[in-house]
Amino acid sequence: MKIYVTGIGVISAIGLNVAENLQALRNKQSGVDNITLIDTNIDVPVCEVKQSNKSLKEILGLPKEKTFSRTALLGMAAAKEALSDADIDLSKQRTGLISATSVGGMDLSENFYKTYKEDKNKGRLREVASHDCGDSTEKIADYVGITDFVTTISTACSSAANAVILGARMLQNGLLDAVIVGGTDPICRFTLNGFNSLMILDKEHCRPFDESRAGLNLGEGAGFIVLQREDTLSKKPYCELKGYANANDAYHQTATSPDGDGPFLAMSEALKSAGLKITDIDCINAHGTGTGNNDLSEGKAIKRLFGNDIPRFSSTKVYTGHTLGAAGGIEAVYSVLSLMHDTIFPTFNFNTPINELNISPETELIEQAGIKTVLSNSFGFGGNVSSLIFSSK
Amino acid sequence: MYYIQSISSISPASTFRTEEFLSSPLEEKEGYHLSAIEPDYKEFIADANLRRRMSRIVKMGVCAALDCLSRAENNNPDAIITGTGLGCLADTEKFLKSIIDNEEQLLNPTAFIQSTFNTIGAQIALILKSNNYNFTYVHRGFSFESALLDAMMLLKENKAENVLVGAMDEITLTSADIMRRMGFWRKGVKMGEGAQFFVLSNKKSHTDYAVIKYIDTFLLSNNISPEKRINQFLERNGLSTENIDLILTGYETDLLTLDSLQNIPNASFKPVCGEYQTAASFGVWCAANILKRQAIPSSLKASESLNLFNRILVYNPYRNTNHSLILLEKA
Repeated sequence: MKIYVTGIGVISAIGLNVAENLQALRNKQSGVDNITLIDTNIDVPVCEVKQSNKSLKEILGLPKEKTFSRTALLGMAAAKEALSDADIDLSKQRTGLISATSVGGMDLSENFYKTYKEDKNKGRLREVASHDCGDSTEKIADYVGITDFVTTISTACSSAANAVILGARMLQNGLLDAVIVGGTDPICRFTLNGFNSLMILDKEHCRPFDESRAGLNLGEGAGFIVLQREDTLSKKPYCELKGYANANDAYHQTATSPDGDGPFLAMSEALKSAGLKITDIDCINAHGTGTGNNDLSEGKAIKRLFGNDIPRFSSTKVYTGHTLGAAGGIEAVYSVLSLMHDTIFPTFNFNTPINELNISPETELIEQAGIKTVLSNSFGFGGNVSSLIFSSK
Repeated sequence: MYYIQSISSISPASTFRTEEFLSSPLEEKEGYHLSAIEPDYKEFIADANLRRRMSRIVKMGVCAALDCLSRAENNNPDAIITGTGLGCLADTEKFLKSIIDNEEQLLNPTAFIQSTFNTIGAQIALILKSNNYNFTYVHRGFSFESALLDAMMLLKENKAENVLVGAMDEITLTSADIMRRMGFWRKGVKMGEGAQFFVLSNKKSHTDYAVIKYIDTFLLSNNISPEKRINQFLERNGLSTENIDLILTGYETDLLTLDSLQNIPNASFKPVCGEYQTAASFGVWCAANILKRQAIPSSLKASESLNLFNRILVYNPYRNTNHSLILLEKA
């Protein structure tokens, strides 16, 4: 049973909607900049959505006095755009929302905790009420009018790719007719300090697959796509979700195995599930975070799987930073855009291949690229690895 | 069909590694919460360093998971699926606290690493060296239910022959205090915690506990009452209220307001396990035991005396917003 993409929505450091993101991707405009929205001593560049919660509420037409986590606000923007794009009649199609996040409402609970820690009778309870991951999903569902099914996935940086996988399977099992899938994550002090303590934040613009790479740039945003079955399509689809796979690297809580066993498994199983050969993949949207560990093991896995036929590949994290639980959703949107516009969005600041790999991502925008099938990778802490394959064939 | 091959539970009652089924009467406890009775973890997590790094929720989850697998004589399940409502709260707070105390300088990353919601699923995979399908659900009162639904789909799709599925949540002093301030406990249900795991298989065996037949979840909306949703759920699966021998509910007494369900015998599991996001997993653990043993312990407070169980509906309305229905049958 074929699963199609009929709607896309995204908000990131390079734009508040699909059109703005596409323009920035084409113009090689990165969202990397100094931190302006959170109070922190950590001095690293990040990729922020340059809108305060207050202005996001205004854009979304939400009541000023109500409290929403940034996770929910970013998610609402992208999910609403994706759903409007798909033009689904919610009264006729059983429609679900499967969202993903790595931190839930932490952006508010860390404010609460600061006050609470000093005095247990203080701290605004409305700032901790949205702490759990389900809160943002239910706020998004309420905002876009979804009541049939909701759930939330959190498998670190592979979260949103797993939301796509679950959505596709629920359609295939006939449990839903349409589903909005993706993820949302804000930058907060918690994750900023977490990645800083792991010493994997680059002090400069991240450089995926480059010998000089020194870590990732944190990003924030949300990306959602709408999936429908062949028999429930409400419009001409953008492309097909041709295959997917989820596996576990089972090597270390935070590091990927040196030879990329998990990534290799995810990519090869995704190919199998799509019924495709390695030569059918025209382009890879790599996980490519810019950390020493990820890019080396992902690169090794790519070399192992594709041998001498490595497809053109790129990491769009040079534009958006690493958006953690949202990354798989944002990059699913970018993969669909690649197919729609037959364009590869480059890793434009790449200079020197990693010695051990000697492979290079695309560095220039390629239009009329002749791409029909894109593989998108998302790997996370806890060994969670997932790959998605989109095809316009 | 989805056969429950083995079960394991760490809960506020004596449920871990005992052949008894809630046979001792409930102790009345002071305070707002019921803490889990934790076993000696040494046997399951032999590495002392690993054990020390693990917070309570991780130990409870990993230990219940490994016990459940050993009972099914399975050391390599085709999938590992977990659910948790609030995840690793103790480590989350520990890292939050260290950010403030150390003014963001030279922080130890361990608590951050262990705070991610998929830590338990990841640790199980690491211990088993399992590269297989691995998912973590984190949606309030649907966290366990989503994990179960995923497991059932995997078996139906023939992508797995057996699946390890479970859920866990922990109470911390801070979470108990915040919930108290929020007024969560006005209705008398205490806060609880625990970990329940199940091995589900698509093949029947003579030691099965029960069969999971159907599952549904719904958000309470103004358009449709829980009663109507429950009737629709039964109807869709070719059943009526008469076919249900027992509703095992997460309510205390509110179920009685649902008119058409009043005739079905009911019992409640939350006085035993307490209220938490993934408490429905304890409801399923109870239902599996009742179906296998054909007996119900007094602590579950059945509305009438019963001795024949073919079909049990576990109905959990989490904070009256996340409602779930899980139908089990005798194996």
